[in-house]
Order: sequence, then C-alpha cells, then structure tokens
Amino acid sequence: MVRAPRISQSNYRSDWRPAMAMVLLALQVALLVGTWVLFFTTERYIGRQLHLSILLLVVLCSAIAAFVINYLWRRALASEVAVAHDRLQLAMTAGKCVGWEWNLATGEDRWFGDLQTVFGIPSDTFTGQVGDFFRYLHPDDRQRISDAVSNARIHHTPYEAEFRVVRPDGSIRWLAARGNFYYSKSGNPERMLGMSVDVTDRRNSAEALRESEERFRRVVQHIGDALIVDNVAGDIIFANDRFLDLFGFGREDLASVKLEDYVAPDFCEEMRHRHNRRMQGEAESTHFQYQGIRADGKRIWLEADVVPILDQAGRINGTQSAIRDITEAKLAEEALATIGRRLIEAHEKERTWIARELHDDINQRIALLAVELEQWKQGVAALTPEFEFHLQQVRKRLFDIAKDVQALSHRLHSSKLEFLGLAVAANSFCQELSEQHKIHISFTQTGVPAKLPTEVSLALFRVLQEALHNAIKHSTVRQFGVELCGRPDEIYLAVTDAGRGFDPTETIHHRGLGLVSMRERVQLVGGRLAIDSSPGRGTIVQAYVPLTPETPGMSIAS
Amino acid sequence: MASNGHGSNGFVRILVVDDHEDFRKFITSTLRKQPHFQVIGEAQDGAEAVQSVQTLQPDLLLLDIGLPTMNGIEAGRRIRKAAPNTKIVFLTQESSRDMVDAAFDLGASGYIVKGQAGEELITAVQSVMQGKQFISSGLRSLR
Repeated sequence: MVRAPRISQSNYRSDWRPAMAMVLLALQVALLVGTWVLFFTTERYIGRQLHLSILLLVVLCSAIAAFVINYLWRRALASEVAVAHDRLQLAMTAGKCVGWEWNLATGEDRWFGDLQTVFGIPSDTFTGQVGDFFRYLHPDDRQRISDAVSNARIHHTPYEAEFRVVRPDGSIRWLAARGNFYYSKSGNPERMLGMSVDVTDRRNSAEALRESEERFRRVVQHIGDALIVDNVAGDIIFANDRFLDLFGFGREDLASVKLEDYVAPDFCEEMRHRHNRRMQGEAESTHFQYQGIRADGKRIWLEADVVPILDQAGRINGTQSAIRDITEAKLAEEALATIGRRLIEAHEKERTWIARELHDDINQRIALLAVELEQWKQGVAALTPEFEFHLQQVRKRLFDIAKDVQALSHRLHSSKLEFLGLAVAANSFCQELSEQHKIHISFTQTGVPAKLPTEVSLALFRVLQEALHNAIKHSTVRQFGVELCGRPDEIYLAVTDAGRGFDPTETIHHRGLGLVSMRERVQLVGGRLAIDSSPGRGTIVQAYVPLTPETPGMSIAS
Repeated sequence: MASNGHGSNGFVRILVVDDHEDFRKFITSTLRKQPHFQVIGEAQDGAEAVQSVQTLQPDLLLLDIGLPTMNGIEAGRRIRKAAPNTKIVFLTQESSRDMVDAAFDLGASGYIVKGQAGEELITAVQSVMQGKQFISSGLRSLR
C-alpha cells in the first residue's frame, strides 16, 4: 500500500503580507483620526499656526509611509510573480507543455513554455500571428483543427484536439491541446487561452503497442498451431481460429467447451492431473502427446507445448497451450514402424531359413557322407596304409566343412537361443566373442526366465550382438560387461565399456544404422533402448523389454 | 530291463526321431542290422516324438535336437517326465558345450555327433543300455 507523504504543519505558511498591509493601513487611519481629534481638542491651547504645522507633518508622514508600504508590497508581489513564472516555466518544460494566448482583436498570438521541444523554437516565448501556428501544423491536420477552433468559438465550448506539428528539422510531434475562448460582454470573442502538451511519446508507445498487438493477433490467428489459454479451473478463456477449425467448434461454442469435448476419454484424467499439478506450481512436462477428439467424434493425435501464465504477483493463473495435429506424422510413424518390423521379420525369417537349410540339410548330408565313407571303409577288407591315410584326410576335411557350415548357420540363427534360451545363448556368445577377439567380457545374469517369447529373446540377443560388436570395434578397450536381468515385469540388458565413448545423437544421425536397428528391434517388442555415452566417458547400452500380456509372443511363451 | 543291456523281451526297442529322412533311414538301417535292436518307430519332430514315446514306451530314444515344432531339448525334458525308463541318446549336429551340458542336465544317457555316428552309433546304444553314459569321442574334452 502506498502511503501519502507526511507534511509537517510548519510547511503550511499563511501569507503575512496582506495582514501586515491591513495593520499598517489601520495604523495610518488611526494616526490621521488621532491627529484630527488632537487638532480640534488642542487648538485653543497651542495656537492655530503650530496646529497646522503638526497637521501637515502628520499628513506628510502618512503619505510617505503609504508610499513605502505600497512600494514594498509591489516589490514583494513582483518577486512572487517571478517565482511563479519560473515554476510555471519549469513545469511546462518538464511536461513538454506550451501555452498560448491569442488576441483576436490584434491577431497577435503569443506562445510560451517548452517551445524548443514542441516547435523547435530556441526560446521560451514567441509572439507572432495565428497563421504562424497553422504553418507549423501538419498539412493533413490543418482543416480539422481549423474546424475545431471555429466550432469552439461559435458554440462557446472548450476547445480540445490532438494534432501533429512539423518542426523545422522535419520531425513530427503530437500535441494534445485544450483551450477556451473569452468573450466581451456583448458576446464577441476577444481572446483565446490554452495549453498544449507534447504527447508524442505516449502516441508512439500506444501506436507501437497497437501494432504489436495487431502483429500478435495476426500471428495467433494465422499460426499453424492451435492456441488456447485456460484459467486455473481449466476453462478455455481464449482460443484462436486454428483451434476452432481443428476441433470443429464454432466461436459461439467456446464458452461451453470442456476438456472432455476436445480430449479423448482415455486421456482426460491424465490431462486434468497435469493441469492441476501445473496450477500447484509443481514440475510438469511442458511437451507431450495425447489423443484429442473432434466435434464429429474423430480421434486425432496431438502434440502440445504448455507454459504457465503468471499474474503480476507471480502467481500461476492459467496456462497457454500450443497444439499441433500430428495425426499424419503418427500414421507415417506407425507405417514406418510396420515397414521396419516387416523388414526385420523378413530379415530374420530369411536368416533362419538359410541357417536351417545349412544346418538341417547340407550339414546333415555332409555328416551322412562322412558316415557312409566310414562304413565303406569298414566294408573293405584290406586297405593300403596310403589309401587309409587319404581317406582319413577326406573325412577330416568333411568334418571341417561341417564345422564351418555349422558356425555359419549359428551366426545366421542361434540354435542355442532357440533350444537353450536367452541366458545360455548370451553367455555362450560372450565366451565365443572373448575367445575370438582375445578380450574379457564379464557376463552376469539373474532371474532370466527359461522361457521367453521368441521375439523378445531374439531382439535382446541381436541388441547384445550389435552392442558388443560396436564396443569391440570402437571403444579401444578390452574389458566389457554384460548384465542380463529378469525382473517381475521386464527383462533388462546392459552392455557396458569404459572406452572412449561417443555422442549418441551425432552417431545416430550420421553413421548409426546399428544403433537405429537396435532401437527398432527393442521397440518392436514394446521396449526401449537407452544409450548413455559421451566422448571419453565410456558407453552403456541398456535395453528394457516389458513382459506383459501385450508383449509380442508372450501368450505363446507362457 | 535285463542286465545284459537288452530289453525285457531280449530286444532293445528303439524309437528314432530325426527330421532328415536320409539320415533317419541310415540310422534305422544301421540298427536293424543288429540282431538285438528293434526299431519300433520313427518320428520327424519333437511333438510327435513325445507322443510316440508315451504310446510306445521304447527302451531307448535316438533324438535329434534341431527338430521342427518342438526342439529336441524341450522334447527330451518332456519325455524324461513322461517316460522316465526310456533312455535318451541325442544324435545331433550340435557340438557345443552348452548343448552337451543341456542334454545331460535333462537326464540324457548319451550324446552322439552325427558325423561320427557311423562308427559310434552301435557302441553308444550298447553302452547306454548297459547303464553307462556315452559321449562322442570328439566331444569328450568338453566334459
């Protein structure tokens, strides 16, 4: 609360001069009266001549005293007027004001005040003709002001107008003027007094504000996003045209539109919860996606950016939301995911088919060939040592081919994963990789179910393969960690190294097909992939796959 | 079961499970050459194997691992429960330690790599029927 300044009583001083003048006048009158009384009562005692002399002396003293008093009074008043003039001049300059007095009989027009600021005249007074004023007036305003002055004069009304003046340097100032005509007893206008205030800054600010508001209005109305402002209760208090178009509302509907009218039923509770948390000043996501519902009942995917609105006291009194329709993007994303899923599935199917062909057919036939060779050898009664040696060599080469085919088959499709499960296959893969690259991989597993959906096992196994191959190739270290953990409702895989690390965003955008592939594989089984890495600080690749009834293949596995 | 390694009727009743027809024929023909071995049935996948074992109750089961519909390891686990007296001998191309361990962990009596079946099949069946465990010579270093 703003308190008025306290003014002490000593600041209030009554003007002593009128009282003093009255006292002196009274003394003079008393002196004259006393002298006349004395004159008539003492004439018989002191003689007529002396009497007259005293009388003249008293009158003379009184006249001198009156003159002195009058002189002093006028001087004091002149000083007072000068001070008042200075104050007025100061006030007019500070307030960018100009006063005028127009004598209609002579045509003389006298200006005073801050003429420098308003008219560019380097003086605080100017005396000219009324035509001089009209020359300063902006050409577009001359007729209007001339009419306003005439109107005030004719109708005896106050004159009020805002107009522009053009200074000698070409700059334009806006003035707000008020004045009055003064008339003779016969009703003829004699003079006009008035004052003009420079309101250029106010006009400019108002104009700038108006332009800014207009720009904002145009932006808000024509922006691609739907914009709404709501209050603490969540009621919409403003919406742009895009919002109305997006949801199929008319502007007249807006007052009665509720959250459930434009948010899909399964998202309403979440949206209310978010709003209430914001109103309570709690941290809440400002960027999120949800499903909306149009007036025609059609569902649409939306992306919102929400910011709280604060009042002058800093209290949250609502939110402003920019909403975008991302339905097409979502559909494209889903289509892309479907394509990705199909590609991965086709890829895996092809790998599995080739692996099975190698393992179940070609390798079996090689094995059978080796067996038949052995049986043929046993059927021959006598073999030369040289022939037996060559036979042995052929058998050995057959075994080697079978082993290579087996390895190729396993590389394409892990039979261990299929037959023994994720934990065994992952452990075995780590051991094989350790031996192959002469590195150390620390493998730990806890609580991994023996039976997992094939899709989940395969996704995690492929992530493990890709992550370990990447780590071996790029990390520059030889120690790696693999953790596989079965939790009540999810499977967790982490592949870590303390190597040189990388920028995941940069890598995904420029050369990260492997990372993208890992992410897609995990997403296809409803999981998520987190890559935590930065240059010089090692890498941890984490995959979380939920084990819920919605997980692909979960019903078959259970 | 007789202590001489033959079944109760003097024959070892064997069920052969392999989805590769040529190999399956080779096994059955090899076994049939032996006077005391009797091939009582054949199956081509894991599920069929489980069902046949329950029906036929063989003395010995020659079981591949890479089988359609149900793999040999899973089939072996179920057979172990359904017919605990049937001895299981895996006859497979799989030669990793994990696979061998898994086979014996579920209660198998023998493990033969297909490439060595020509010289080891008869020996393996006889050893197992005598109550011994058998593992292909090329895999013995794994156990």
